[in-house]
Amino acid sequence: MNDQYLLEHMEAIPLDGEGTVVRRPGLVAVFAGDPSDVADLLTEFDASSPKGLALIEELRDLDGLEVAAVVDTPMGVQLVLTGAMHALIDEGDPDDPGLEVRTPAGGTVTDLDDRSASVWIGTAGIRNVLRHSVFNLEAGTVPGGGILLRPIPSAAAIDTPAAATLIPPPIVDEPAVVLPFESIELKPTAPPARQSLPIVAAATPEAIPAPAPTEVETSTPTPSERSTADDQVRGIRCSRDHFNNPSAAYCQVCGISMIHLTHRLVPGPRPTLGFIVFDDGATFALDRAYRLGRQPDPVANAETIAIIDSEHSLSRHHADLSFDEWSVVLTDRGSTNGTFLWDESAGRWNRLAAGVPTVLPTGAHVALGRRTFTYESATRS
Amino acid sequence: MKGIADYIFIERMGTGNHGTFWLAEAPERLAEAGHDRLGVKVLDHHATDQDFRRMANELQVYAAIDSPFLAPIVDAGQQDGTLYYSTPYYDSGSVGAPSRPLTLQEIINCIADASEAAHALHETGVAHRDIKPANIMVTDDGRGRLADLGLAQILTPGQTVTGVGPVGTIEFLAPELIRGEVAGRPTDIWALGATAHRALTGKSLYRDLPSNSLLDALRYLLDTSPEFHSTLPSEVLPIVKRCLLADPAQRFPTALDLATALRGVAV
Ligand SMILES: Nc1ncnc2c1ncn2[C@@H]1O[C@H](COP(=O)(O)OP(=O)(O)O)[C@@H](O)[C@H]1O
Ligand SMILES: [Mg+2]
Repeated sequence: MNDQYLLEHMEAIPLDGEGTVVRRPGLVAVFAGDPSDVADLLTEFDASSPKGLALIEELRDLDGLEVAAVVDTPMGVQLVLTGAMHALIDEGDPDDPGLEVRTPAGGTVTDLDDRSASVWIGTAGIRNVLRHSVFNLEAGTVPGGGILLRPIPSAAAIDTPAAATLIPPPIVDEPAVVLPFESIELKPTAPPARQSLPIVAAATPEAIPAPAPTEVETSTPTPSERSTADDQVRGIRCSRDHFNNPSAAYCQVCGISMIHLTHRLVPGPRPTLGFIVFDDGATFALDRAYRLGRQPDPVANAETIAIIDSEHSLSRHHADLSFDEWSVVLTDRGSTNGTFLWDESAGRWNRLAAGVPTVLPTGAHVALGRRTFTYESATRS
Repeated sequence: MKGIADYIFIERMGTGNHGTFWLAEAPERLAEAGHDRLGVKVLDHHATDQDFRRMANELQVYAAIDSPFLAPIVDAGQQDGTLYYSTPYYDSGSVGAPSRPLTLQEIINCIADASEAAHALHETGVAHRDIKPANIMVTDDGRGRLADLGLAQILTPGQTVTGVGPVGTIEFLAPELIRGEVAGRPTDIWALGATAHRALTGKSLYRDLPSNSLLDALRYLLDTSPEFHSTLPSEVLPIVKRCLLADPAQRFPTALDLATALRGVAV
């Protein structure tokens, strides 16, 4: 049995491109085809949990999806390719450009031996197309056209000496050694103590679908528990009374045009200003300020986001996202590896000076160490 | 993994957005209450003590809700920072992955049941936040049980999409949630409508959803109205349409209104 080259010892770096990248125990795969078909397939796998050779069989017989996959089997790791997918196996020898495996008719299975330093798999043209940053997909599904599989960098091992052998896994395998646990048995006793959720609706419509929009009672739901004087801004109201950015052409709540409204500025609580999407797909709404980092300490006026960082590129408290009137503002907190804003016209990353707030334009790409996110504004102009 | 706390795992049933689901032997301490086999959800999120309190609070409120259509939570806990909770195991699977074929009428019944369950949650001040076909369990007599209260929001406040869900599941997210509005009745009602459409047609609401970037997919969702597939039974179409209106105030006012509408459908 080949101990060296098991998927758990590898990191999987998703690459840009059309497709879906999947990592789960014993499988790393890139699918080309309808992502909802991929979702269905994964649901099927959840039900039947095929592993090893059985999993390879399933992957080779897919209808409508092409796949490039690396699968753990009792005989070691195997590579599966169907359709137009391809792979490049680089054994780490600088004089040897590596073995390219391409577009085999009807699918192929190749043994990968433990000398293989890294493997690229994916749709044609994925080679060397790294994202703005590199992150290790530990588990899950993200969009992408390929994956680079390589041994987990030894930096991790230097950081925590003999990590692999000394740190116990979170859950014990042997029933003999039971870690302490706490549990609460949930019984339908205590009466529910909370208020019901507000009904957000126009006066009971008669017909289905609802008649043309009438006067709607609601105002923008706001994070009122958190709002302070700082959260007050001046804005405009759409014809249905939703509070908006004065520069918005369409209401961000109901989408109605505000172009012909008289723009009278009124004070109100700041609505959500959009969202940020990290390179692994984690999405956060900008209805509150955030403190970002590897392990930021909690604060009263912001939520913390602990960012997964397998490469130790982030500082504990790396940067802050906050607001200035209708703008989203990013501030580096003196991080070691820096906070960067992508400059599309110059084609490079600009490092932010520590402690200096920078307004983010919509679509801004931001890098914190080796992780990135993109900011998308809620304002429809 | 062979178990967690005093549960012994029998089989791994699948991995979802927030954790892994196991079929397990129930511990002795729960035998009295008549449990022998249970489903155990082990969350990926590495939890602090505060996280555990937050989860426990939320689940306590949930446990006290009296609805026949909620999948009950039997027990919750943490071991070394790993959170888990257990629920009855449903042999028939979920509306998303049933272990036997479901008729259209059964699917409609299950979603009506889940809507009633969601209403009970709403009346208690709780939004579910993760309604989708895989979270509506099916009983042996073809009725629905709403499961898997969305805990992600409680553990990671502000987060609307976890990084590890198949892109295919973002159709259940009401567009206003992506923009950062608070989850509530209208967002769960959207998810119920999207669930009905998905389960009854097997098709996505968004035909050309970009698949190469989540950001593009989210932008697309914000700019595009859902499209209803032609195989959606015509009796259900107006109901689903109303759940998926862009303006939250134009959807069914409550999930009970939705349940009532669905109960009136015979296909
Ligand atoms: N209580 C249960 N009884 C039987 N099957 C279940 C139960 N809960 C979940 N499952 C099944 O296990 C699989 C994984 O579930 P879960 O981890 O909740 O992920 P998700 O809901 O995101 O698909 C799903 O296919 C689901 O149908
Ligand atoms: Mg589930």
